[in-house]
Amino acid sequence: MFLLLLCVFLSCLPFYLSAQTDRQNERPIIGVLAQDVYLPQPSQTAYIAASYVKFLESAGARVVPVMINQTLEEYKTLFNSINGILYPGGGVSIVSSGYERAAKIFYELAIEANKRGDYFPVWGTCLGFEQLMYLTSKKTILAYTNTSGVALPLNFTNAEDSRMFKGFPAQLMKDLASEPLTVNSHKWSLGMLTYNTNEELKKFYKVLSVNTDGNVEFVSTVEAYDYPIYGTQWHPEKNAFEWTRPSIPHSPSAVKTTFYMAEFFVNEARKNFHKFETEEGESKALIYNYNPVYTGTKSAFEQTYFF
Amino acid sequence: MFNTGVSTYLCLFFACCFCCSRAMPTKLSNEAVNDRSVIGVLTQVVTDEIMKPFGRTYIPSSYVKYIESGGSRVMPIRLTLPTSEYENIFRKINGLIFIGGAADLETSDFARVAKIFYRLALAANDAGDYFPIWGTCMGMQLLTVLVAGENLLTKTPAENLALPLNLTTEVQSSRMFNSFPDELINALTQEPLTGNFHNYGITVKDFQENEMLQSFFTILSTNIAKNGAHFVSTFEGKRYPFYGVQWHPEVNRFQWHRKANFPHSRHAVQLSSELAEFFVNEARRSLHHFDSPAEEESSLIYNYSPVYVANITTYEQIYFF
Repeated sequence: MFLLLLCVFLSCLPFYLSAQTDRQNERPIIGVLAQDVYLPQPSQTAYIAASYVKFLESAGARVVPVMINQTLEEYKTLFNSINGILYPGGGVSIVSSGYERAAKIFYELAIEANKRGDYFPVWGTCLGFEQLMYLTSKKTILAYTNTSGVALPLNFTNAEDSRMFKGFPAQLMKDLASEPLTVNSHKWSLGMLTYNTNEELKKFYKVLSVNTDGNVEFVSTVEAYDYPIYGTQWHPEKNAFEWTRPSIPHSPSAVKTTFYMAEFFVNEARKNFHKFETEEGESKALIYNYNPVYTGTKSAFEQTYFF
Repeated sequence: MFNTGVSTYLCLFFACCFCCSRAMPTKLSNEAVNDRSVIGVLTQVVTDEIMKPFGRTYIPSSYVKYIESGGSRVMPIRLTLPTSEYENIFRKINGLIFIGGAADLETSDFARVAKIFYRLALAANDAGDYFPIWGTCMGMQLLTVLVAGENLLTKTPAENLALPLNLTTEVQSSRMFNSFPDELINALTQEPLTGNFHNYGITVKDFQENEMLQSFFTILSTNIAKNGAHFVSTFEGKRYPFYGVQWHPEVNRFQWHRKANFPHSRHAVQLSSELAEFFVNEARRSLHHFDSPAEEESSLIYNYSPVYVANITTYEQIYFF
């Protein structure tokens, strides 16, 4: 009887880690969340830096912009049409903003879907990473760090057998650990002290790398233990696609970093089989319908999509 | 200390070596490397009726995204400038791509401008000024015409056909595939990772029988066309950093037309990425640069916006000029 129960139990375990790796969605579409423009103007109330779009396209995905201030129904429909979502960096509030509201909706939809065996990956970069930490712990205790424009190597912690890094070439892992390949462009961080004393975060996320500004040791890369949810405090997309700041590395290893990080996440999205109801609906949603503005001469972004 | 006589002798000796040698270095020199390259893309002549309302010349965005993903930036180069302007541009960019299309390989503006750059590139490389050129599909065919001095193409129909590559033994010592992971090389020979969209090509026989082609390029892969013709699908220059593929590495990641056989598997994505990085790494060896940041900024393709044409062409987006 016990053996029977055990067999039934084992066969019901969530499928997320044993997602059908032989069957793949070769046409993944990933949402990128827009955020409020600081000084909005007509037809420029929200934006997405083009480097996030190029990041995902470079690993074989297409992108749909996820607008802020849509209805819950619209977000649910979109969620069921796309194969993953990315929360970019930026400067809006992770507690109350159009970005936060949408991020929370998609996060909750993703958690629920994954529990049902509908594999749906979420990625957070910089502000997006901090947003995930807030959504999971419902607390914001970020520490100030002097990391506004500096590239650093990663201090890996148990990263070799992580989902994120296990497919990385050995040489790239060595380079990441020894060369300043990760762009840090943030004033706030999740301190290791905070992580270690926060039960919610500790049980949800595995820390894959840490860094320090000389004073505060902070979390730089995470993956969730039981969900395909990932975050970096640093910017993998900048190495190949942003040329506006001298602290951004552009060496061959730096470019490979961009590709392998993007490829990992896009491959996660290939495990999801959501699709748009109609081809026309898909065409209308894609970011090809928009053109970014050349902002490289006056901002940190070479090109920016405005909505 | 050396006396004047010996040092003069040594200077002459080294001068002879530099002047006589047309071989390019096979190892990446440890000198300054250009991590901020700009690669030129010649605009292509519009021949498709459905595209004509948009402009006379074009560049599909897939080529632009391909180069950017390799860690570089793109400068579009028009076909209507004076030769002196092309010489000026050549001195500033770090590499050049001849894209696919349907222009005449001997009489079109595209061919004429390509020839100007080709000659500049030959001379520059001879003088130790590294300058790489990549030709995709018609771009590769154009390289064969430029090198052979004549059009040797014949019918090798492979329209909308995804194929593996039949790699030659020279691949192991090639520059192009040198840093490919073994798994990817294997996949390349067994999985249909290369998208073919051409009716013409250069057969292996014609290639090998032409003294110029045979001494200029090494064949890295061949394929069989729908009519059984055995054609050259990938080559690299023996002594010049010039590369050609009859197939389209950029479609694997950046084109999505449902009726086209664009390879989108994981290996297909990796192949496209490795080759883009390879060519950008070649461009790193060129130390050309613009005269000022402002001049560079105004030359980049960021200044242009492509048109969303997925509903009328097999491209997603196209820049028109």
